[in-house]
Amino acid sequence: MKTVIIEYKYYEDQDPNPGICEDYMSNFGAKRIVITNHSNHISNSTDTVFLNHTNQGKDIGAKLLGIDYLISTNTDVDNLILLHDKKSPHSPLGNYWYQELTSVFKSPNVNFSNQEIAKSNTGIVCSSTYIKAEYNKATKQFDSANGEILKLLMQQYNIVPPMPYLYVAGTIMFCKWEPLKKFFTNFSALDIRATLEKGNVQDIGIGTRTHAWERFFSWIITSQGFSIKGI
Amino acid sequence: MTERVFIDKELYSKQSFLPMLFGKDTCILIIKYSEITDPADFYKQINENTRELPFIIDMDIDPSEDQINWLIRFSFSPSYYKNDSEFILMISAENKKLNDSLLLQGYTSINLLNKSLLSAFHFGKLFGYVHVNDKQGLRDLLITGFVEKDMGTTNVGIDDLLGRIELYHQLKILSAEKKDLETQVINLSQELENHKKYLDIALRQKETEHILDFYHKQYEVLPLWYKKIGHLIKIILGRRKIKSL
Repeated sequence: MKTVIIEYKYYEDQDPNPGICEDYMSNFGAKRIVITNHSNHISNSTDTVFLNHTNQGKDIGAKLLGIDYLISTNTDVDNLILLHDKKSPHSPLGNYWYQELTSVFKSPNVNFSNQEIAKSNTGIVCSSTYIKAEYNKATKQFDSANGEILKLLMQQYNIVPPMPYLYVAGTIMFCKWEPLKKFFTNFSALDIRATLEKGNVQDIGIGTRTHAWERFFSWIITSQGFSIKGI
Repeated sequence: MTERVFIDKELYSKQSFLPMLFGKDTCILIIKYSEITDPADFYKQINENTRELPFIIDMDIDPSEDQINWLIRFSFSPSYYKNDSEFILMISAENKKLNDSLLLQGYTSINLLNKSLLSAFHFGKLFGYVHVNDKQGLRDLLITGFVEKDMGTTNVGIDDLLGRIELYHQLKILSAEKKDLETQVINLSQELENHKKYLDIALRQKETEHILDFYHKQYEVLPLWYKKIGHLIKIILGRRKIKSL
């Protein structure tokens, strides 16, 4: 199984070359695509690709660029690991959030994650703590500032995710490439990236396309019949 | 003042010592978009192979939407030369669609080197363009070719090159000043002509006054009886008729 890691490094103070999860990921990451906001990264291996993007769409913009790289270069992929150096300074649980989300790639969970993603009906493997659902059956609305944008996106891309609209909050996950490839071959990831907000946007009070796409990422996979497995 | 030297890729492939001549750290390759036959392969190459020099793209074609997207992808490569995140692109003409696409992808600082607006330089065997970066006070050289295919052993040093460029700029300034001076000369010549005419008239006026004065002194002052005798003599000699008196 060929696994590609797409990781976004927003913070410059981190060592540019080792990956976010270098120590425990080198075992199964056949290729790493590292997206940064700053230059001076030189790849010392053909297995690692650095891309210096503009600060647009936060980690979602970067992950879209990584996906665009795989599609435009027709790279052979089975599974994808989506990562970023999440700190969430706006949240008091920011660090906990990051540790939880990346726990699926760490021992002792990592072997279980590998087994799970290999199952034909599993589309996403992630931390069970951050599998979220915002849909309110009673009001038929999303309890989220991004609700209206989500409805527009579902309409625009003809995506109908199964109830109760589960998604991985934080978009750090192990997922199958096939459903993403199918979607992004039809809809250019680069074009989608162009629609996202610039800079460090938050969805407090007012929704953003960036945060809507955070939810939509999971739905692209679940709408094609795959399930989310929480660990 | 730091100078950046952009060298045409084809030129570099033939004369790879050029960066050594100009200083490797200041050299950047210019890759013509029209020469990229397989953009997917090029995208892979610029990201997965170590490149000797950073590069910029010369958008020497009128790009389609797809080609603009490829350019955006190339721009995210660490090998694409940027100065403090400023995206640099060589163009032949303004292209709104291209500009808008770059802005949509988050570029806020775009430096478009429009060839049609740059000063061309041509000396020795080298030719290209000079780009003056007003913001940073830098002067970039864009060397796009040699006059002759075989460069031989031309030993154009950077100091010599910049010296010549400086001379070229001074020549441009002097040419502009010369043009101004020529206009001034024409205007002044015209003014001088006018003055001459005025003076001529003024001099003629004086001459008239002199003649009148002479006439007055030589004739008008004579006594009336003398003038009458003079008239009678003229009539006797047949030079005047009696009716004219």
